[in-house]
Amino acid sequence: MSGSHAAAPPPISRVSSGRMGMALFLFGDAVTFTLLIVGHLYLRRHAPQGAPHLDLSGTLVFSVLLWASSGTLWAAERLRDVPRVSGVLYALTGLLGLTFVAGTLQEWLQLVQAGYGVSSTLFFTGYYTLTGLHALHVLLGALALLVLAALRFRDRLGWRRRGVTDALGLYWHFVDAVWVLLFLLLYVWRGP
Amino acid sequence: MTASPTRTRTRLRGAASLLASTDHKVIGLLYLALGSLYFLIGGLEALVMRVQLAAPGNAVLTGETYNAFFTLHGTTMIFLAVMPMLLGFSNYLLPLQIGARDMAFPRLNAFGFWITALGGLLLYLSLLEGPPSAGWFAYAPLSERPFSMSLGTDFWAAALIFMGTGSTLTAINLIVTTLRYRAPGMGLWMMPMFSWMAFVNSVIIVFAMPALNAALVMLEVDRALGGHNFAHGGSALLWQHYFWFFGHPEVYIMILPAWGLISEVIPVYARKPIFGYEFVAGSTLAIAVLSFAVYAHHMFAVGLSRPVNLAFAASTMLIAIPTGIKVLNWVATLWRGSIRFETPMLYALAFLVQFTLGGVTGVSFAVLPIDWQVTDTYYVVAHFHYVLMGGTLFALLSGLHHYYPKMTGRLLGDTLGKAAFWLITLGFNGVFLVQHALGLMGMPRRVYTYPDLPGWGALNRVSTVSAFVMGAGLVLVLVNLVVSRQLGRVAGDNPWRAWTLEWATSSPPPAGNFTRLPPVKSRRPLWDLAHPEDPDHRRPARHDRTHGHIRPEEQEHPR
Amino acid sequence: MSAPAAVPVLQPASPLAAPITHLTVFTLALGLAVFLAVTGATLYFSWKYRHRGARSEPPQLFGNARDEVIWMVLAALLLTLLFALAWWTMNRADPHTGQDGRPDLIVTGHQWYWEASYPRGSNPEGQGVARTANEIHIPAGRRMLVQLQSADVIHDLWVPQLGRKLDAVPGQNGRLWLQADRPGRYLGACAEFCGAQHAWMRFTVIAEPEASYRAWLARQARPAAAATGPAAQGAALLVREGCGECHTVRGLGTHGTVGPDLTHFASRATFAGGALRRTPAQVRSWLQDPQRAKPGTRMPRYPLTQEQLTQLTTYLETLK
Repeated sequence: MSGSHAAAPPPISRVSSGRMGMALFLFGDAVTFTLLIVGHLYLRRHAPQGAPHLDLSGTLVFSVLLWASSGTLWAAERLRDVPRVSGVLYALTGLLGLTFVAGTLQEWLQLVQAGYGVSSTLFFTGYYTLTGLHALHVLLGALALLVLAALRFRDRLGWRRRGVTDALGLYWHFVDAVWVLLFLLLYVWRGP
Repeated sequence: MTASPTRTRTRLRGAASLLASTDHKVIGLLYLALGSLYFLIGGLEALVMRVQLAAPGNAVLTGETYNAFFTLHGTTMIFLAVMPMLLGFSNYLLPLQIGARDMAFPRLNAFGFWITALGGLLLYLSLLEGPPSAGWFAYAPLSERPFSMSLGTDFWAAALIFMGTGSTLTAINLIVTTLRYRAPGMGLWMMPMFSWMAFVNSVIIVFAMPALNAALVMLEVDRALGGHNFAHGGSALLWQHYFWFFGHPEVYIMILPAWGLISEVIPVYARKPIFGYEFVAGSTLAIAVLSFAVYAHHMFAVGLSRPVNLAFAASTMLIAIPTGIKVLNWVATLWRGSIRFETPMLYALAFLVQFTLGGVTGVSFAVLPIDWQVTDTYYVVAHFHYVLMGGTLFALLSGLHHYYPKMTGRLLGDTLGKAAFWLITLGFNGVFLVQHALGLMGMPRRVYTYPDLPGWGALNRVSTVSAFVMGAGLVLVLVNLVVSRQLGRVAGDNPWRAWTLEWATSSPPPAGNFTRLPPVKSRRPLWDLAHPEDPDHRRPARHDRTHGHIRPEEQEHPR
Repeated sequence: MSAPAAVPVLQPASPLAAPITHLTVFTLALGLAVFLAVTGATLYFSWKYRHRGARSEPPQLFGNARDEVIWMVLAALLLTLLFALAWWTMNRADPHTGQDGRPDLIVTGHQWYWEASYPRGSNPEGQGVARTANEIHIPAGRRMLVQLQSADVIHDLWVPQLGRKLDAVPGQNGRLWLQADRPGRYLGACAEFCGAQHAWMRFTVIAEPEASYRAWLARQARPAAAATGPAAQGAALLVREGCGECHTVRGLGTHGTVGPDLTHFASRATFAGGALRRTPAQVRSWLQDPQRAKPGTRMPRYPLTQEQLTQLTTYLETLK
């Protein structure tokens, strides 16, 4: 082999670097969430039964919007050859995410007004920790999606940026999946 | 030297381009520089503590100040000295060793470094607020609001999150680079040993750091928002479980790349390939998995249930086997070699002796009842300094002397290097050998002073004096590094006649690393080039009944 | 009193500590043998196979699977032996305490002193609860069930000559046995970092013959003797100045639990977590400024006149 070897990696694997890197990051992230959830369950043994003051139906609406954003993102990926449509779908995904964050904040406000803050009970300590960390994930992902939407809309995302879109897609689906677990754990399940 | 304005401007521009660089070699050197700087700071902290402990009843530091010193010393050495230095070597060497042009995500790589540097800055900014003083392990409830009022602990937690994030990004980068950017022909089982260890090390980082982040988030929820995770109805032991679930893997994070450096150095100066490559690499994988399964041996004194205690005692003993395999293979690499006592080899041999001692005392902690006596005493301090200084630091110094010519194109001063080696070795052993005895004599850790009991003062004095001897040796190393940059002999591409890819390019390597890559058909591409009559990949492929891959004429007693 | 043991971990004075010592010595000897073998091989090979100017490379040996497996099996056997010994020793050094037996003694870690209280049941005289600080009396030869707890952060009770250490974790009760073979004074210390004065959270376990132990316990259970003369002024001062917010002197009507119980303060040889000897001069300088001897201690500095210091010291010295 002579000359500098090509910048493109040898085809050892077909997964893009971006997707691989993001997958590794999410493995770690999954460890964080798992430990926080396990810790919460462990401490909740001492917590008062269940959480009847949480607004199940209201949160369900926002949750469905978040889960729907996985669908719009999937469509945006499929239509990557039609920049305008794809860009709009990306933007929609990001906006759905922001809506969800707004819903979380609104629920926190209601709870705090009703006298349930972080320091009220063991349940609420864990509740705010988990929903807060998750909302932070959604917020960052949504902002990144909006940036991508603008770029995609102007057709500025070539194949060389494939890794970035791959990575963000994986991240977004992961964050949505985590919410399924958290929703069941915090809203549906009534405690041990 | 007169500095004309233009020259100053060029200098500044050079410095700026260095700081804005995304080249893995520059990032690696920046990491090494950052690690060295903080190693000096952490070392000075240690010296001040040794002065305070030189005699019973000294009043150089008060209890609270002393606690801040050992908190900063531990945090600095672990997160800002050892990890950055090891990641610096990983960053610099791994792409070179596997024949890549750069890392998979060069800009993310630079970001990872700068965020680590920012974390370091945050940690020391805490001095303005009242430094953290709950120990680097920050056991709740001592680290909770009522007992640690100042913002120092919050700075400390934020700093750790930043440094952890930087390390994680670098680790992800190293993994993807390893998996996707190896030179044509280089399978995973053909990578040089350092790359193997850096790769496995990165996997541990990716899985261990999140545990620390989870613990820190919970701690901050308690401290800043009044949560109940670890106090007020929460569980104080939960912090310890989560902290050590990160903390024990962290110990291996701090030794794996060091093992990698030793595995590169010993074969080169013994003029033989590493003995039992498959076993050294395989045992690393075993350690990566087991390191998460032994964490509760840090908690044998908290009163866990008997079955839990026994399970962790067993897993801790188990992890001694892969570690032992490594030591034995390094020793076996010496066997029938042709050993050159260059400075890197001296450090490597000292490493073997000291790391073994640290390992042996480590096993005594796995024997549960012994741990009940000696945990939290100076015996522990001696043990882990033997593995982390006698081990990791000596490996780093070995690697530094070995790779300095590659990084700069110049050889380090030989006499100066050897003089420094002897000072550091004598000093180091003087500091920590006696601390085993202090532990058995009943001296607890983390005390700012101690009663005047028979022998305590004398042994502590030996420790303190030796610390300054070691410090002098380290200063000599620093002088050597600086002076040789200008005055060292020109090294050439491969001064040690080593066999792995990083020696196949110029010193220092150009941007993009290689102008041409030698063919990679075995684990030692440069051996194959130098010995066309006897390339590695033509050797008998299977272990025969004597010593694997051996040719009849190499046998001591031909049959 | 005899001098303290030079290497207490290797000089056990309890049937609970002796098995650990034997195991420690055995393990260290074994470890030393392994260490000497590796070091010996390293040095011997380094010397024997040093470069002697040969031009050619040495034989290129790549490993030997059979030898590696032999090493592994040997190491595994050694470790299995150690594990078995560890298990066996564990059962002897830390016999089951059960969860319902009434403790003979409750030890509580505070920042930064040890409180030991003897529940009513353990006290034949039945005159109330005996409570002391940093000097824990036990009858020699009798096994005492200790309940270990913490009032604030995690502490750790460790008396090297008497066996295992155990953490005092807030929110949970630890239990361990305490036993000494023969009368004597055994030094102990807090072995878990607990803040500014972790270094001066030392204590002594005092083992004495059964009869004198019972006499001691009976004395401790009594309230403080009524003060007369200058000491009475000290007692009045103690009440008036608010020392009772933190300290208990039974018989004087103060019930504070932050600092050590002072009811029988003068029966102890040291105070302030082992930092000071209990002499009138030391007590006086402590009262004048506790922060000088033990910076960070919970006891603040009170502006007391020389006369008041004398009165307080005199009173405290009467609390035998």
